[in-house]
Amino acid sequence: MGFIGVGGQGSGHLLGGAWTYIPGGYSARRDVQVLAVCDVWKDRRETARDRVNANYAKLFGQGNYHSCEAYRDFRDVLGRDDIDAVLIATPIHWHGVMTIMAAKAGKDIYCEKPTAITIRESQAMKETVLRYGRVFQAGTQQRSEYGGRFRRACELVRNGAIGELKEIYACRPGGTFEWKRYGPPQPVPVELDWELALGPAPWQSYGGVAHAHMFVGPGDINWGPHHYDIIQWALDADRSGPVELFFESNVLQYRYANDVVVHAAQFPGDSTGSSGGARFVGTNGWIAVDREHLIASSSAILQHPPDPNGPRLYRSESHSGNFLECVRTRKRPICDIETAHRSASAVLLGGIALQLKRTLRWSPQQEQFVGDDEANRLLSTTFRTPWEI
Amino acid sequence: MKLVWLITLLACAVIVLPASADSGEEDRLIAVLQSSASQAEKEDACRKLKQIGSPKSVPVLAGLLHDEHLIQAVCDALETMPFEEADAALQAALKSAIGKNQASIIHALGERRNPDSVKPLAALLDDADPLVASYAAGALGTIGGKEASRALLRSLKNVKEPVRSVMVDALLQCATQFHVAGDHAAASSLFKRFTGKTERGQVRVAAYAGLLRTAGNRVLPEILSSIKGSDPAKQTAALLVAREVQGPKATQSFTNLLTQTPPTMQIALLGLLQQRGDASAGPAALAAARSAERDVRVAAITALGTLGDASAISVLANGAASSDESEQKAAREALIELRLGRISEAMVARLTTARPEAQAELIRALTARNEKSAVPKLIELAMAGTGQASDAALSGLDRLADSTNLPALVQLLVTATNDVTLVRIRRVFESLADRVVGGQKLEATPVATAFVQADRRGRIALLSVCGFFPDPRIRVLLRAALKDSDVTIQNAAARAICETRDVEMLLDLIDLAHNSKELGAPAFDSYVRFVEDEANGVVGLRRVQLLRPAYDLAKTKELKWSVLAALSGAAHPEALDLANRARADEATRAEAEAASARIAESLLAIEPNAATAALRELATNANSWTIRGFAEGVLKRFDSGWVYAGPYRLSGKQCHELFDIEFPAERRGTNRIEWRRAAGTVVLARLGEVDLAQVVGGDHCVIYLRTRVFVPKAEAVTLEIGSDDGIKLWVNGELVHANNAVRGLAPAQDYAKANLHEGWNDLLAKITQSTAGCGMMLRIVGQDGAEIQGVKFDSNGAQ
Repeated sequence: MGFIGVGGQGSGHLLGGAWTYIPGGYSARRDVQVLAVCDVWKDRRETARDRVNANYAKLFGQGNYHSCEAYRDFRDVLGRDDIDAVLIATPIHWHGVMTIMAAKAGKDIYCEKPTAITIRESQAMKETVLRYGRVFQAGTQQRSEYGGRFRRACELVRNGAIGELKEIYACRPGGTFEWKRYGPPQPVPVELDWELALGPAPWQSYGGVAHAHMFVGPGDINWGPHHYDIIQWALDADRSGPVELFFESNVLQYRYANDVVVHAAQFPGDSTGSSGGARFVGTNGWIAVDREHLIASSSAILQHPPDPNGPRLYRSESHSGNFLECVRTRKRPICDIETAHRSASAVLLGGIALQLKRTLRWSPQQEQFVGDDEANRLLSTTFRTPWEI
Repeated sequence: MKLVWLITLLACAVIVLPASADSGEEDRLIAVLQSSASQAEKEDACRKLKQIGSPKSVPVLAGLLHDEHLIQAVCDALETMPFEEADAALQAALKSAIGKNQASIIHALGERRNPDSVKPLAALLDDADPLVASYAAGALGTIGGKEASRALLRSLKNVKEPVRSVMVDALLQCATQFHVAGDHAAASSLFKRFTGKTERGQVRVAAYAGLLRTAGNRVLPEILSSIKGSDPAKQTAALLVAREVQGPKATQSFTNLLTQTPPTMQIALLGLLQQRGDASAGPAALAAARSAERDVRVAAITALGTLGDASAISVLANGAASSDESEQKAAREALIELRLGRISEAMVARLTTARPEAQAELIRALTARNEKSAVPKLIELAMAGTGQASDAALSGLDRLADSTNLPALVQLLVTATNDVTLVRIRRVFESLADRVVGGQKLEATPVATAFVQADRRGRIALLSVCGFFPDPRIRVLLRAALKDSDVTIQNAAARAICETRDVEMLLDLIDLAHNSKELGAPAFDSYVRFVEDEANGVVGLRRVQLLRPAYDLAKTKELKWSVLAALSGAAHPEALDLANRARADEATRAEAEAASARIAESLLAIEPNAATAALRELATNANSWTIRGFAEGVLKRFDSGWVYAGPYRLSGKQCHELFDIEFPAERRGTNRIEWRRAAGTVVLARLGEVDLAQVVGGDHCVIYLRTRVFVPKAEAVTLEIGSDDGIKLWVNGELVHANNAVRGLAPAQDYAKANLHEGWNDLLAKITQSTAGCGMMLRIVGQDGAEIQGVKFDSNGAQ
């Protein structure tokens, strides 16, 4: 595998760490070998390379192990025939371009969230990954991790444990990107390839900022993907999406075809759900889930027996393990490209609604706003040549 | 204390203003583009025109298509404008543009998908510039259609890499579009071209997958043939498309392949069958679960979780008892996942005949499945004595038993034949008590009734669980047992009191701590732990009242330390008094100072005056330098260095409408304003924040902030500004920044420039509040972004 972007998130995947849900990271696994690390920051890529080589030297008892190489330019990683898969953990404006180029290069892909910054980009990613038959896993790991809490919650909702689902409190809004400018101009650090850091983004002089969230815009495109990924799962909307976005008491709301309303806000007076989760309210009670909690209006709801004929959700207990298993067996991963595309769309639709501040109607089948040219104009953005999707 | 993510959450709360339709907006934006405005201003104008521009914007935008600095923003605007003037402008510009600008225009034309653009784009496929040729190919692939594919095929013959790869990808896109449109002949003809062994592997996968999708009735035999073959690209494509072919016939065909393919493919097929979810593949998966190949067995066992019925239980239970880690993990998961048929009944029935290792695994699965109907059988197994199954049954009861099982559990308890089993059963009761929530309590009748009838051994056993029952009958029973003539009974009762979960037994507990030689220390510990445990709801003053006698009773410094630790969680001024008393004693001074500091920190939000006084005193007088530093740090972070006035409201006015209204605090010469100290934050990561959330008292208002800032020499500075929501900022009376924003708080959302005099300067900020959080962050740096040494914020600076 090759790791593209080895800052906080990427190095967590690669090497583990206190924050990560992958003990020891990919470099501690026996079922994968990391051959390349890539970053626009020289110190990051060289540190990552040295630590991977040191890990392998220890793991395999080979003191002079040095098969992991450091790259500045991700195209050199994609050009290697001996790399089957890449993990993309770069700033968000790079995710789509790199995923598409990786798929065309025949690589399987694990891509951090947010997977895309526009709906058109997300569509292009889906089409390319499907065209080349690549395995794609989105970095919305809640479907696999945290003790299966999210899966359990969604399965209970899907199996009628709270009766008919009526409302969902998403805790956070959708969101969008923004081509922010940073300044005043500063000398580019010698460690940094600023041109590659900017990539598809509009040109600007280095202003002291080159991090993963430098183009995060209004709303919450950073944490929103976790929330809406779980909501889409509970709604059985992995191949669909909302049909309407509107505002009530100045709060963004989504309506799905089954009339379920998703409030882009917390349940009044309760913060459960804030860390990536939601509160699902049905005719017979509620369930709230996040990374730390799975609670319900009554204990009977959590003990709801599984219906033998009821919906069962994809079971994965390790997001990285599921990705690697699918690379080997060509199975569909738990957060495959179509799922990722629809979850990303839910977030990005919210971002467009926040920009336009009015009711929007959306066709999940056509993937267009209905009779709304102004909104449809915001489905895409143009990248800086030569980075196209 | 707010967590960072919570702040982010509040910051991201969806707060919107109504859209305003300004008919002159487009004219204004066009004027910006035609002016000598900066590149940034023109880019912003382009982005706004992308949203609202009409055909009258097009000529102005088109005039900028030659500008290499603006090309991206201009193309972004034109790319999605829903009228043909944009196509015409881009096509016209295509002829004269070169290099990257031409490539950008090509891309925009591709995204617009106008078939009229095919011809001019096709003319660029043989361009000498590989960037232009590649972009033209990509655009034609996006537009698709026969004319585009013919042009691509014509140029493909002579083209070299890297353009060739782009052309092939474009043709694959064209083929996919033909397929979607129902023209399978055109699609398959194109796909077939790229199946040759000279093509790259991923291209062959794409081509074969496309061919299979266009194969119509032949798709299933073609997939089967590819899977049985030896070409990896064909196999990969076949497995991909196999997921899309529905129906029992396909499932049967893929199932049949299990016996005709090598292990690697069997594993892939088992994964495929599992994801198809068709139970008809269950028997084949069950057969594969007995394969000699370990990885095949693991894949089959995993598949059985979805496809298996009760007939799989035996194989899975044995697999779960396997010494092979992968097999065991897969089998354990599958046993939990099994759904088809009456699984739970079959598992319980199987418990009777399974070997002990498998029995234990079945119990583990029943427990994970939360199968309460298994409880009677588990109690039966637990009664049967020791051994793996009995152990597993007791572990299962830990999770599955509920209060309805109490009579049977009491019976199990009084009939336990050895101390080890007794301890395990007692743990089941403890687990039951742990799971009681929301003010409910365990029903004590079975214990109280059994106690009357039990013999001596039974009574001792029952006393071991009495601490878990907060009930008047149990209180009476325990107090009586404490006075029993039998010392063993007395001791059992004392131990139960040490474990009490009954707030009404706290006096008994402290008595025991006071009077019992053997159990005095554990009783004391138990008392303090009970008071300290937040789940018991002993907070604030009540906690102090209960800890005061414990402190007086504590005979050793270690016991006093434990009381002080419990006291540190009591946010009440009287807790400070007790901690201060303990500071007089050398043996407890360090712990008492630590407790005082933590009490004072938690009091900041509710009793700021008492808390800051305590912290100041600790910062000056604490014996420990750590505590002095801690207190100083909390005070420094808590005091933002700013003072505030307001909030100001006007009936019917929303936040953004208040932005330009001048309130008294903003008027010069107004000196009858009450300025109050503004809180900072004790969160280290948010130093420099002024937290106004507690003072806005609702939505849609304005707050003013004032301070003085000292710089060692006159300097032109950059102000890094964050605000929730809008902000105006004056430096020495001059307005240097205004942003009528509605947003959450983050560092450096805006930048402004200002000139500061040497010495003290006046800063005034106006913050508007929409809903949710409210605050400001301000950092002053040099114009090069570097820190300025010696900067000080003090609202009374040099006054």
